[in-house]
Amino acid sequence: MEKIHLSQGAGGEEMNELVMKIIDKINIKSDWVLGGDSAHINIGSDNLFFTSDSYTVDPIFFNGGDIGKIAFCGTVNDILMSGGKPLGVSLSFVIEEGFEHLSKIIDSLKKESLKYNIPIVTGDTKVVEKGSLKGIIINTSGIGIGKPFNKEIVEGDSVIVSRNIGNHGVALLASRYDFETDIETDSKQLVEEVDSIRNYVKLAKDATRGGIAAVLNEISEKINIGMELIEEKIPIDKKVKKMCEILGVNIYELANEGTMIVIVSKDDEEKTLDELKKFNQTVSVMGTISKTEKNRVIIKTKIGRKVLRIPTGNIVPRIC
Amino acid sequence: MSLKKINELATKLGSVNIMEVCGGHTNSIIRNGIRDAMPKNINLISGPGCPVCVTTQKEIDEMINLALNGVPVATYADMIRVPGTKMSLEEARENGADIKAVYSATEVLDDKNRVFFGIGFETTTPMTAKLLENDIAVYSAHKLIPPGLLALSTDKRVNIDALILPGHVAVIIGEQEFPDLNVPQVITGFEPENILESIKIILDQLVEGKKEIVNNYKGVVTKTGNGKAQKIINENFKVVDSDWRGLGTIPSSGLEPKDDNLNAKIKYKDILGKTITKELPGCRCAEVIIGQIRPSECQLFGKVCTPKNPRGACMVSEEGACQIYHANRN
Repeated sequence: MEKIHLSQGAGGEEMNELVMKIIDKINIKSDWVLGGDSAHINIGSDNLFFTSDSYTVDPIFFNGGDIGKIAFCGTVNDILMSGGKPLGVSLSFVIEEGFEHLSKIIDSLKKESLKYNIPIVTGDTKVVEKGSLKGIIINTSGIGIGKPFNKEIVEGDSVIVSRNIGNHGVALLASRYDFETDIETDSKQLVEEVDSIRNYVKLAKDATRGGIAAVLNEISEKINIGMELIEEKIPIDKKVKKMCEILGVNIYELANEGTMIVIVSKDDEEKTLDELKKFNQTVSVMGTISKTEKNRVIIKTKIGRKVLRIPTGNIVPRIC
Repeated sequence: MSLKKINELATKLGSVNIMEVCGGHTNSIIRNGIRDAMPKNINLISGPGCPVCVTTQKEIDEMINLALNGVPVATYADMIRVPGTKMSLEEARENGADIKAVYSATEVLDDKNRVFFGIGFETTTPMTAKLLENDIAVYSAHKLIPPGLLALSTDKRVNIDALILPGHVAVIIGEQEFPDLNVPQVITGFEPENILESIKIILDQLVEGKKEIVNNYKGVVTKTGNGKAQKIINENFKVVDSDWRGLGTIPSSGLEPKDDNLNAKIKYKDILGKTITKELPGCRCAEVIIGQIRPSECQLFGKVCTPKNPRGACMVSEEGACQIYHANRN
């Protein structure tokens, strides 16, 4: 494999390709079903789910959360998005010599673990020389049990987003660039949300790195079908929108840590909305599955139409 | 409302080429689906107002060479993926060069040993001037919009019927600085309604045979601009001739630090002099920037040149015409 570029970790097209290369290179056949937010394997009447994720974030503490919170919620959510109920999480740290905030991060991990009694059951710590990484890297893995979501997706199905988007990315960028704002990360375990709509879900995915732009394109490619979104129906907080304009970043490409995309049949749309509204009023049907737009995600704006591109490169603020 | 009016006016006109000079406009036009909503005979052409796109190959190569020779460098994150002759700044960084990607020039205010690669127009220049005030060396690729527009309008390869003028630049330089180019020109903000309104004003003028400069960003853009910003630019920079990708050398269209000691081009003359620059074979960014060809007419487009692996500057930036076309290709 050639030299690794920063953009191969940004959640866009380059990262997908790198992951595919790694998978192809390993290529060991097994009964595990791969490709979702977590892998799963049939164990009698149920399925076992397994996922792993490493977390590095700049800055480590930001409005409404920290690296510990997203490390726990992210892995739990990856189990949930595939249909599993999380049973336990592992926790590993790689810490830079001289790091001073570990205790605060552990408090935050513990708080999340207690919330739904998903225990942290195993782990590891390593300390590396000053300068060999920036502060701390956390890896969490998780296992879960349940039935994978696998209903067939067809034209006319509804594409729902569970809440307004972009808050995490903006909270992070604001902290990074010293903008004062009360916008907080959306980081959250989606345990109750998924439980409430389990029967309706055809596909669920949390819109993390690369934002809805990456996730919707990924879905559309995977199921070999297109989507048509209505821009006005994509929920965005006014303050978040303004901040994106000031920062010059594309909100659709910003990471979320507690926001999911759910595809349900048109018939289940109302019921799904009613349930998700209990958790966040901004839930919205932002579009539908469309065959005419094969493998593309189209957004209808007030004025015309545009393609929602899969992000490439790193997210950088515009300068003009 | 404007859209309906635009459709009406378009029926009275032949093919119309309107150039939006600023990358910010291109972004808003794409983001809001305006290009798609235009009548068939109204062509919106992206102009040279994307700072990354007009920065020349030589300027990029010189910065890469400087960084590879051990001089710490900083520039805007947008710039670091643009390919030079052998590599981009990003690849130079992977090879060990000290290159910092910043969001704002002020991030290097305390970094006295670093050279700042200043790019952009009147909007980013005041920040670079601030660095010069603080004795930080600058490699300036800063360019000025009015002489750029003048060169564009007299370039025989270019066929433009009207211009959407950059709102942010106008905030700094003021309405009065834009040259009369014998075509309708409208200073415009970045909200989609504002852009549609400006297109309507342009079509109105074309129908009536007028060629005026109109300020459609009132309340934000004044006649004389931002005096404070102009002052810091004038105190720290002098006007020089400058090379633009696509347009060539334009007289009095660039800025260099007044203080030679802070001018990286002078300070590091020996290193920079050894830089090897070759235009990328096949790359037609230059013609794309002036609206002479559409991106899809370039042979590299979508084949060897993609957003993921850009060969030319126009494929790098989200405002670059090639990247936009690439996303919207069928």
